[in-house]
Amino acid sequence: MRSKSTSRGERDLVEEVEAGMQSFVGVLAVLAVALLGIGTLYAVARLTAVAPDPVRSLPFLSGHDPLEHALSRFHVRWYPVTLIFLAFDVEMLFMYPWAVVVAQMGSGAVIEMFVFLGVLLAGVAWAWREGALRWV
Amino acid sequence: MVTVSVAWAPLALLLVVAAAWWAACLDAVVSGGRWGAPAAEAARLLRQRRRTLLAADRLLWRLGGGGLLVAALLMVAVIPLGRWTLSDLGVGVVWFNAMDVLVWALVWMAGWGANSTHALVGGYRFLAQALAYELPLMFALTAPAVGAGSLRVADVIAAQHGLWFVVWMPVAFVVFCACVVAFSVQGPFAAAAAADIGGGVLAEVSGVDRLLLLAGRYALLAAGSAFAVVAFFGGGDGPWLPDWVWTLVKTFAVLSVLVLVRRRVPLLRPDRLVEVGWVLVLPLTLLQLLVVSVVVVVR
Amino acid sequence: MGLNELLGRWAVRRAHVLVIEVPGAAGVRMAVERGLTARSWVQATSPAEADVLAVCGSAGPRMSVVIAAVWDQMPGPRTRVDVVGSAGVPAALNAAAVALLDSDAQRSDATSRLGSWTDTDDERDAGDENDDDHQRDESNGNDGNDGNDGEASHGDMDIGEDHGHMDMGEDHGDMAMDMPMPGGIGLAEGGQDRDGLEMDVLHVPLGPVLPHWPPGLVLTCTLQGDVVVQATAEIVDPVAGRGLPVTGDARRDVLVDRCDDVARLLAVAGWGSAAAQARQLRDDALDGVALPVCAAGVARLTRRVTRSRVLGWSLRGLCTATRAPGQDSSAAGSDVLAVELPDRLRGWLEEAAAAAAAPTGSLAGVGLTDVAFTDAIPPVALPQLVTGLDLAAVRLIVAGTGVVADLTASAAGARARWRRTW
Repeated sequence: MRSKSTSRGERDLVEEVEAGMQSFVGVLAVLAVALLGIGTLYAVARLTAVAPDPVRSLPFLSGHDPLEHALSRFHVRWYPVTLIFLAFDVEMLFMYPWAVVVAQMGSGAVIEMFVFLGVLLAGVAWAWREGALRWV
Repeated sequence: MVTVSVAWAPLALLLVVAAAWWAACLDAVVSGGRWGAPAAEAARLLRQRRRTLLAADRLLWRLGGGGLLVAALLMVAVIPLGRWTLSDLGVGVVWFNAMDVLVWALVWMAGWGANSTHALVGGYRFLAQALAYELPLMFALTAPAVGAGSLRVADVIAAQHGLWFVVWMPVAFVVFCACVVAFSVQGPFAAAAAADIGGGVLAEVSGVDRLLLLAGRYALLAAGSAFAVVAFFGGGDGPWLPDWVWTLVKTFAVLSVLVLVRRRVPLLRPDRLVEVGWVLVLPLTLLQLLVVSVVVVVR
Repeated sequence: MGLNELLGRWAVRRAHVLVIEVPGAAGVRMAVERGLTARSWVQATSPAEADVLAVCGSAGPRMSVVIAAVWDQMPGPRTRVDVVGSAGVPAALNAAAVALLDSDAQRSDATSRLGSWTDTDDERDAGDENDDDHQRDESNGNDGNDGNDGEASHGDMDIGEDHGHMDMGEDHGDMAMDMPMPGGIGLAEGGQDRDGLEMDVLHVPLGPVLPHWPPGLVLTCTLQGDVVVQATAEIVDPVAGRGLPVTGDARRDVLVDRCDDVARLLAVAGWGSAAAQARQLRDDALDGVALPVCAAGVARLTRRVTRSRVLGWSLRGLCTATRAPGQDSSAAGSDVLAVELPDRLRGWLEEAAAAAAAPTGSLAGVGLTDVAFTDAIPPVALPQLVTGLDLAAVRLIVAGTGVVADLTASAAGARARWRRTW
């Protein structure tokens, strides 16, 4: 377990930062291996495919030619949901640090957080009643 | 927890591919096929020519296709195998969360990039589905973090010694597993790749591009299962066997259960799922979180 | 290359087949599907996935054009088989396997293809890939698109040109030659949506080549997002009758037809394992499995389907979706909406069970004579049923009704009346 930040000396902090960097080195190594693996697979496929270059096709439209390009302003009818989502998603910023300290802070932290979540849920309930969660 | 040399990183790739392979084989067998079906499929796609489409957004398209496998591997990077870990990240739980959010962008890009209506519809279907599952997933992930008082995966495992979190966080566990299936675009959550839109995000890809997308979906399922093991089943905790064996055994077990269960459920339509996700699953998950918080405060 | 052959041998164990049912060839399609199951082959959902193009029945002139366009979109290795009778299925699939394994032929097919567009069409990264020149020196010998009537793919326009850029004016006559759009295909234009926003509309034909779709049906949708705001429907190359298999026992005929309906709806609803179960029941009935055994199978499937709350939750409420104002509620096909899809599914299963349990002989006495037209509606009735729904709902409704060309509104009504007296 890590020591509390209040009692942590400067040397601890340096070690912590170094350990953090070290952890990201591992992540970077995995990323490199993943990219290397995918690159190898593409190289192999160039050799094994019946032709190395991609075939130039039109999009599948049940056997018809397209009248216009599909890349367009797609009408997402659920855009109100994205706004409600955003409210909760920002809340996650508080949630993760809270998760670390809740045991030390005690019941006050629990009450404050769940009152906050309750307010957000009330918002969801209102949005639900307004029909924002259905769009078909 | 011992942080091992980065030279072990290829092992992570091998293990993820092996687990994804196992999931694909099991899937084929229970669907009435043969164990060799994934091998035949891989051979078929390696031999098949790639496709490209007129005015496709090729950069996003290929990033989305190959990215799923990368995201799965980056999830696995913070998951310890027994007592060894590649990356003992202080915010491992958040890292896993970040990688699963990356999947939003990747699947959408795979759908958008092709410049094809069916793929485009598939990509947007996934976003709608993600709006339904993401919040329950985040709060389900928070429960083990609260239980351990830490976002470090090693601490979460250590906190489960004696009593696995699955015992007193069953709702979080079930929700987490469902969300793993959802971000893997599999089974009942495969609306983005459904047959009714010609395969959706899969509609226009062939050859090795398609192989990567399909493998990436299974790899995500495998990575999610592995995380379920460290978050709810005590990681390498177990009698008789070495801890790394336990991690693998539990991961394959969870993965197999997910493959078997998802076949039994029909497709969940994203437009109806959103309501269920927000009105039913989200409050249930928060209730679970409340119980966990009260327990850690009282303890 | 030896590796390619080795991969090929593995690959044909699990070839993916795009099955195209020509109107009037339902029996052939069922035979092909059985052939695929027997070989552990897979039905493809799009040409990108497919190795084999299996055309069931004799394609008419318009279907031929569509099929050629789909053929152009298959990546390769690829092969096309035309199956006109159920007896020819094993030979056709064998031929397909042999053709897929012929690596030399597949490679030469791949190198001789022109592709459907050129770098000059693809403005965004013109000059990005320079490997197309060698392809243009060879003629395009594999297309079968000779009956070019303006709908054929772009690639055919370039035959014989050394560095042919596509003649944009030819394919889309309403566009100027110097339009800046890639490939001479326009950009989507805006239209008012129901919320008063201007959103782009796309014109998307559904069918005739689409998995689990009525043969020959083309539903041309105007889409905003994935919502159909306008639609027209027609059947290409229509023929009388669906060409269902005739077993000589009316009970089996009914069983086969209903199980096929159930399998189609379950497949569109995204429940692959239950759809496979229904297809197996259909094939059992065709194979002459004893009727009581079939009845038991139907009962098992019925239990599974009716127990699934998720399925009911997923399918219910589509038929009562809000209709646009001004729609004629008395028009043909509107009574189709009176039955919810889960009830329709159960109705089919009940009919299958009743047929399997019926006494020997004709089913004329109980009214099950009109096998060909279960719940079917004429194509003209379809647009008003699907306008305002999203693509998923449209697919479910079409799968839950079945659209046939030579059906009058009165026949549909008679069918509905018969159902009520069942």
